[in-house]
Amino acid sequence: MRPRWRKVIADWWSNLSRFILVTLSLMGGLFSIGIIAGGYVTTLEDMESGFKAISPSDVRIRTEAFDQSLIDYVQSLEGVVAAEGEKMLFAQLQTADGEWQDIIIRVLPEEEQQINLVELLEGRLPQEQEIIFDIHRTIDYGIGDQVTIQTAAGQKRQLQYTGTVRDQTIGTLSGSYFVAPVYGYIAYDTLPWLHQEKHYEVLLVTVDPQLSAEDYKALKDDLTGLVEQSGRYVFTITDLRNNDHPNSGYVRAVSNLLALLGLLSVLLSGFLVYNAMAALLAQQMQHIGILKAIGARQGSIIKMYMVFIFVFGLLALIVAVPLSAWSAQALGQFLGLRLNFRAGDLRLVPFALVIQTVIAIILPQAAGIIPILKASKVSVQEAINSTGIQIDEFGKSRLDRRLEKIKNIGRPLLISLRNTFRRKSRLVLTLITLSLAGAVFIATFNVRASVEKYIDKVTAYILADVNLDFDRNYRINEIEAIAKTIPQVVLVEPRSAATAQLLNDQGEALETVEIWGTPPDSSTIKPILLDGRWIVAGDRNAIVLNEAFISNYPDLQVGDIINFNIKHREISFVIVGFFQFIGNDFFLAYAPIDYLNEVSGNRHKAANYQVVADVSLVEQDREEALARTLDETFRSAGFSIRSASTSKSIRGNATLGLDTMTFFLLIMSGLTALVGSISLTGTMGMNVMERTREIGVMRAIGATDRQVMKLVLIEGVIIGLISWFIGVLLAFPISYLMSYIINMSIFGVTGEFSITINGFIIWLGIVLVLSVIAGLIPANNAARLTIREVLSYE
Amino acid sequence: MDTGNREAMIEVRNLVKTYYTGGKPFSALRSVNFSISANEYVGVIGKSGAGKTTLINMLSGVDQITGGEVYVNGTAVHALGDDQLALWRGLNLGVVFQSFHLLPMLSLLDNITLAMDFCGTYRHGKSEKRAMALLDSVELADHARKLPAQISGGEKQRVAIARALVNDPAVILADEPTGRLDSATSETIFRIFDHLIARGKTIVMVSHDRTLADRVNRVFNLEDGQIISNGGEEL
Amino acid sequence: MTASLTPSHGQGALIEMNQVGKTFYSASGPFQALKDIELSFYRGEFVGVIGKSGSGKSTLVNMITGIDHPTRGKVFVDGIDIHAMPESKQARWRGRNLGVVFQFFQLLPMLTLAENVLLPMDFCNMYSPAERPERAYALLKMVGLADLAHKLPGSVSVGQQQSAAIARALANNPPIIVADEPTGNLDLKTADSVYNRFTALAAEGRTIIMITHDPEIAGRLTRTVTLKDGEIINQSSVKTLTPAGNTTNDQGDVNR
Repeated sequence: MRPRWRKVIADWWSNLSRFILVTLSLMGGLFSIGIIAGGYVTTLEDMESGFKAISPSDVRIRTEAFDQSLIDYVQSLEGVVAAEGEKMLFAQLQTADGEWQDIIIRVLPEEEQQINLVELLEGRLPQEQEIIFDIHRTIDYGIGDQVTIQTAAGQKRQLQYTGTVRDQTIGTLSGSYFVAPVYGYIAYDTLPWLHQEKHYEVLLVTVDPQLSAEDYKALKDDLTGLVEQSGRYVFTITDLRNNDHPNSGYVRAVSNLLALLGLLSVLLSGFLVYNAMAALLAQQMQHIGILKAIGARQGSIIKMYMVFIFVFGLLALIVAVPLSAWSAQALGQFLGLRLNFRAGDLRLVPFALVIQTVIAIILPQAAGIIPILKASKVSVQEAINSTGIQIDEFGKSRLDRRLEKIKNIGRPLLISLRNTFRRKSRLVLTLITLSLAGAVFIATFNVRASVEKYIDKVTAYILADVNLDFDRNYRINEIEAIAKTIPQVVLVEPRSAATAQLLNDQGEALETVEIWGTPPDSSTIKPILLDGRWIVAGDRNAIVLNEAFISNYPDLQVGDIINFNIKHREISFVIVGFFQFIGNDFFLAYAPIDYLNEVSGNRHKAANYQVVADVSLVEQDREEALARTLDETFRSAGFSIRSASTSKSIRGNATLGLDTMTFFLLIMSGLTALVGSISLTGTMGMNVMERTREIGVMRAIGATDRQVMKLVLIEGVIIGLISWFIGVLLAFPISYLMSYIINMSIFGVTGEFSITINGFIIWLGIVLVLSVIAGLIPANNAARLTIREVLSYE
Repeated sequence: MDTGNREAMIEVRNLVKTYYTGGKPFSALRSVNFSISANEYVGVIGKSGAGKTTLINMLSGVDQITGGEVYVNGTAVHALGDDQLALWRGLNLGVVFQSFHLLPMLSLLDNITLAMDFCGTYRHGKSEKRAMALLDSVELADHARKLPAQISGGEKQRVAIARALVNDPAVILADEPTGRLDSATSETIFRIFDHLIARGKTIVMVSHDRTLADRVNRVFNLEDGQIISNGGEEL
Repeated sequence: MTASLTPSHGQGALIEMNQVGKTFYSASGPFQALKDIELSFYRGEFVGVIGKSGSGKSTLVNMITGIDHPTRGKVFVDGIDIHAMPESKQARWRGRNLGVVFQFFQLLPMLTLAENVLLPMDFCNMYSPAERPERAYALLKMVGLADLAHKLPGSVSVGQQQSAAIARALANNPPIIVADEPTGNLDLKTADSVYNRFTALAAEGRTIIMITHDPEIAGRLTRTVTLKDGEIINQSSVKTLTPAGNTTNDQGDVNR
């Protein structure tokens, strides 16, 4: 081997610990980029291909009871690939300790499943009097156990638990996968055992993927017409064509945030390479001088150090590629379980590999080239005689001159302050990582606040203590009378719902709208009004519309007449106001309950009741008790009750999903904080190393260890404070962006934006602690240096 | 092309070096002229700050010349670029420093072969053989695999001299080569230089030690950047 | 600070080195940098410690400043065994009693000349905070730098930097000044003014210990101590610049 390479190896060897650290950090950067890029690609691929494989329904029509003959007929239509019937039961499952938990039971079709396939993971598909469960919620039982189901009508039935499946459609229709209840699946033939009629209520259709958008729309209209002509009322028709896996939004959101973290770690590793090289070269200045003195040209020196750096990248790459591929797969498995998809096998993702290679080769070289070029240009004379305090760049920039004007703060503090700004490029790099970390941290709190504000809005429409949901309409008087027998109940407010079609002037259907009937001046709704007013006493055909109408039909005004098709009748309403609900893509309206019931043929009946209890019932468990009492009372009286839930538990469910997200975000910002503090420690270490001579001088003229330590610590704190300040400014756009992404992926709406002071204050505390810790090691080292070491020139 | 006085091994004309510290000029050398013949042994004597190190740096081209001309062995040093200088220096000059300047991470042998590596003068197998021969000539062949930290100061300087001789240069420049050595060790080093003169080399040695005058053929007394007396030659 | 008489050597030495030896251990074996040095310094002396590089002169002075510890022997400064002090205490003691002047000046580059002079007073909490700027200015004026007080070291000449470094060494009014090759990087004229300054300071009753490798300045010194290979090979007799009984207002007294 040529001796110059022996020198390169010796340099590696003699700085081993530092370079292992740099290689590790580079590896960390490459690893995170690899896992993010690889994980993103494989997860989305797996989700997409997995979701396609279950033949998800393109059209979903909820209507009145039908049987196989309608299905067969639909199947024969041109453009229809498959049609299938479905039925959903709302029931309760007894837990091991005797409580009841909500369960949705999907009735599998009589024929073999063709649409929305469930994937059998364990055991076997259910036969008569058997049930299988989806894996997304753990239940208290294992395969082979007998489980007890309580139907809406209150009958209790034993079923045999025979298998576990994955149902990727959970979360497609309502709310989010994370707050969905337990899903069970039974055979069509089990329906009578649960006292249910053998029929379907939902028609699922898949269409030819080649179908043009117009043909598809025509087919959809044909389907609706067909069902209506058969004498059945169409409650809802849902278009699911082009829908992704219901949870793909989460992956996108998570990946966006992770990409930010990956970027940070790459930035940090580049920074560390730069730092390490700058330190090494400062230390090897004399060597470079000697090399030049004995005949080395600038090119050979640059080459030597570049090869030196190349080793970092190569080593990091060799370890990071397989490790990240493996981890991406493990992440996929984990996410598959959490996000309800089937993760694929271990594989190398070319996209991730290319990114990693480019970063591994280019980044260290780019980071190192600056100090290398600088060092290689130094004249032999300067390099060999690098002694004494370097009269450096301080005093040249405008900032420095401004700093010079700050005087009346005592010299030691002055030194810290001016030292902070001596190495400007290094300071900028540190500030970038630390500020970004801070901004992400602060944003986490703001995102949470934003989502909470959003949830607040939703719950403003369900202020009652208990929400009673029946399986069908009951007479309002009857329900009220029974509810009032429970002493705590103060008020029972009915709600009825009707599905309607918004009509244009020509009488053509435009949108499906859900209209809720409410008593006027309801005390259980605190509407957020955008215009006009709420439903008040004396209103008859008044209607209040949500913001979806404003954004889709901006011409609509308060006072306008609006027409709907309700149960095949055209009904006119007068718009009295607009309210804000949870998003733009969901048409919702409120109308006086009496009028709505009248036009939908349900006079004096309702399926939903809002129960308000005595004000003293403030604690959640007492509300829960009331909900249970109501549930039992109505069930034993023979009412078919779907659920009796407290508003707080509804809110709690939503918060549960939010907590998952917040936890993830906090981990992420914790990591960025770690990244930031590593870079701060690196900077402080470099600063102190460069100034060992100055520190020696200060000690020679009377500074004690404590004073020297204080100088270094204060410098760290100054950097921390500056980064906090920048982080605060950055937190606003980042919070906005993250809130947008999270809201979009959880609720599918732009949602709300809110700022909370907490994140700012907590981060200030953390950054102060971090900067003290980051300064502590270098400060300690600085204090330990003996003056002789510092002042000796060789 | 003007190559200076063909008789002279080193020819210096109107050499000026000015440093700028804090924006203020400081003249380290003010118009220095001299000429050194082949196989001369010249001592440059002066106090710290007199400009003697600056002078030797100008001859070796390790520092930028502000004005004037320097010819060494027929090469116009002042006209060479940084990279040309490095190669030229490696091939034509042996430089010996006060603080040895061996690379601490390389063995004595590697320190010597490294110089051949950069100049590409000897093939790898041969360069090692030559390095061993050179180490042998300074009586350090037994220590060839040791690191610089494992030998004494005097031994380090002998290795540095061996390194300066790798490419068999005609001129050797030495900056206080015994400045860090005790009296007895210094003697050994001086004997090596005497031996090199006997082999026909040209040596320029810098020192603040007046006793150097007794060892060399000719003395330049340097004070405040000027030669105030130049043994044997008219100024 | 009480004004006291400048003692001659008859009244006892200010600095006493008793059998001080120093051995460095390195990979090439032990190296005796100092061999049992027995040496005293008195008030009003301007002593040159002369020797080549490697003779042990810097090591000897490091023993007096407490910058390095002796392997054997003791060093007393005004009766205090300085190497028995813990390091943190030593720093404060050094700041108050020793003014150090370095070969490369070692001014802190991010502080102005005035701030550099103020620093030792801040570190050692000497003089009231209100007095300090006045004193710094007076010291800079004394070394002829009044106009440059608010300049950064990088923007003044090396001679001016060394003058500022001397002003800094005097900040806490120390009785002892140690200078390591203070003129090594200065031209002759500037070096001359530095010597004059030291002579004046010795005349005030301070003890100046200067490391140099230049035997020619012996004429400017009250005494020379010549070192070779860690031993004193030559020493001239003691004489001080200040006649006994002469009092000055700004003279060093050992600060406790």
